[in-house]
Amino acid sequence: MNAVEVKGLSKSYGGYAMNDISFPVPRGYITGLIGPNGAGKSTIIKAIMGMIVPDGGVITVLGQNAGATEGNYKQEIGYISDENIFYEYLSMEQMKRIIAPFYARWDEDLYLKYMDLFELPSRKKIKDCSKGMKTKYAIALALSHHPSLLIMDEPTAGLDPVFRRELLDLLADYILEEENTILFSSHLTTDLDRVADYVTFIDRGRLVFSDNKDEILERYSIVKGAKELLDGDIRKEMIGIRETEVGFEGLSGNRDKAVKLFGDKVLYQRPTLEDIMYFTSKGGKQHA
Amino acid sequence: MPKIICLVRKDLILVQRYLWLIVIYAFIFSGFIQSNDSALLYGLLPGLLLILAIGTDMRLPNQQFLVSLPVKRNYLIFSKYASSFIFLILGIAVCLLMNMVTDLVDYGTLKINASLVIGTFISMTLFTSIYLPLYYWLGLKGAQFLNMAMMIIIMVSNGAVSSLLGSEDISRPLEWVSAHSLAASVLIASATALVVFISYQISLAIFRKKDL
Amino acid sequence: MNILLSPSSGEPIYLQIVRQMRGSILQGELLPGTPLPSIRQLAKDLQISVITTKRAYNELEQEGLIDSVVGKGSFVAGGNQEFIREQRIRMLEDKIKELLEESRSIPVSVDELIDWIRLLENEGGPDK
Repeated sequence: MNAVEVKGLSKSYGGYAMNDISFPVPRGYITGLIGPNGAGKSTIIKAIMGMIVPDGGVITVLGQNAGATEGNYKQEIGYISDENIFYEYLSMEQMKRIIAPFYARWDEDLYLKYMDLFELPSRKKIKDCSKGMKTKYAIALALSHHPSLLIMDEPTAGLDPVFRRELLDLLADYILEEENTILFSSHLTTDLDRVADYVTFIDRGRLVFSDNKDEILERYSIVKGAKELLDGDIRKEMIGIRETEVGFEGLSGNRDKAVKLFGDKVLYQRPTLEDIMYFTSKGGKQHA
Repeated sequence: MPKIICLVRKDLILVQRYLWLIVIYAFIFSGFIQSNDSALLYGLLPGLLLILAIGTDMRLPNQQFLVSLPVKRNYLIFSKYASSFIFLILGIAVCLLMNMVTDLVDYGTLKINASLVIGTFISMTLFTSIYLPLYYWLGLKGAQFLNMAMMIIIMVSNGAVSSLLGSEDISRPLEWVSAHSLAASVLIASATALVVFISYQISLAIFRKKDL
Repeated sequence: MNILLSPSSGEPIYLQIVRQMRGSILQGELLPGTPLPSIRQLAKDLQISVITTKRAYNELEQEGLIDSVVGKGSFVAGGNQEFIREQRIRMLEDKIKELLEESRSIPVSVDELIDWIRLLENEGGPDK
């Protein structure tokens, strides 16, 4: 079964509307949720967590109904928000004492192990902690009740590069357990380029794709060529193009087709997720 | 530990921060410093405590935290009402205590003004019944504004009630009440309970649809 | 067994893994029956996705180089010598093709190439 099933999710805000979004988060793997800022990633995560009430759609988490009307399914979820949601005037120890009793599988030893590993002083007030410390604390809390689904909303924003690497190791440790799943939303995609198994791309409220990451990065291709080559045909094939004085670079959604069309007049390159996001928003086109 | 108790416990932990404020306030108005003015004490202290205590997790991130817990939204609301009730009792208990102490010191006697206690209880319950739905409706954005407004309302209504109790017109209804104390109590108790129930339903309706 | 990945080389990661493991197995570095790291452990060590390591292992299984037992993990296949020799000959053939292509492009004739090979072989010396 999938860890999360999003079916027909719709929500409209002032800025944009999200309509009929459906995608799975396969169990046992890391799914990256990517997209530019404001695209709707947080909306999706908050809908899963029951923090916003969608206009339409059904969400299931580990087979249970999820959303604003339910509470129990969150026993299985370790949630890490993009900002600090804990009471600033409490110490980390006090905050933990508030949270721990809610979870059936709270593991005090594990919590202490993480606090030690992250070098977090329990008595320190949360307001006196740096952003990095607050994130580490949130991770410690989230992992300490043995959740089978970890949901992280932009966890690496504001973290130093050293800890970002350590976080990847932590996630890899977590996913050693086949039953565990991670949903990781980020607009900093370099981490996901390596470790994500599946990627769901949301752009301006629209689902662009939700697929196996390796397959995506093999299917898409960066195409680079001389600016003289740019004609109507090429433009039509590209999802997005960046033209300069010294050439053009574009993204094709179908490498095989591009190779057939352009042969070796152009250079082909494996894209990164960031490339895909960049050219997609540049082009603003629909593509398969 | 059952979820409701965890939630109420959370509110109790959060209010510790304001304990000093309550203590100072109680001290000032209990007659140690100025003349024994029960109206000011009973009138304002429970209200102050309630606003401080309930307002501690009014901020949006804190509401998000609460919803991220494995607890249904109705439990969150129910626990808020339960906490308010507890703070109300605590507030009145503090007033009672201060009153008794000052009475002992000033007059050497222990006098408990039952009607003041009951009156405060009822008026504060009504106040809470109005405050909480507003808290759920506006609170997340207009927190400061709401609290200010509520404080003013408390002070104003406190003054109004005091003068009302002292006036002539109230004496006839009050006579009726003392004459039919059982019927009156049942009537008042059920009316109060009804108000709280309605308030709870309104809060539920508001919060259920809320986006955080 | 060591696996060293080069993310910028253009070769898909799973193929790099397949190639390196294949090499280790065929060269006898990894003996038949040797337990291999689980796909998840390997993903963690290499800091790549689980699906990628899974794909590499599937590929190696298809080539008959490893066996995966449900619940126990993956092991180097207890292949017979004949099979391994065949695999190594295939790899040698690929290398020879590469060599020929390179010589053609310089160009160096096949005869020159053969003489050259003999020379280098003798340079290997009496201590061989």
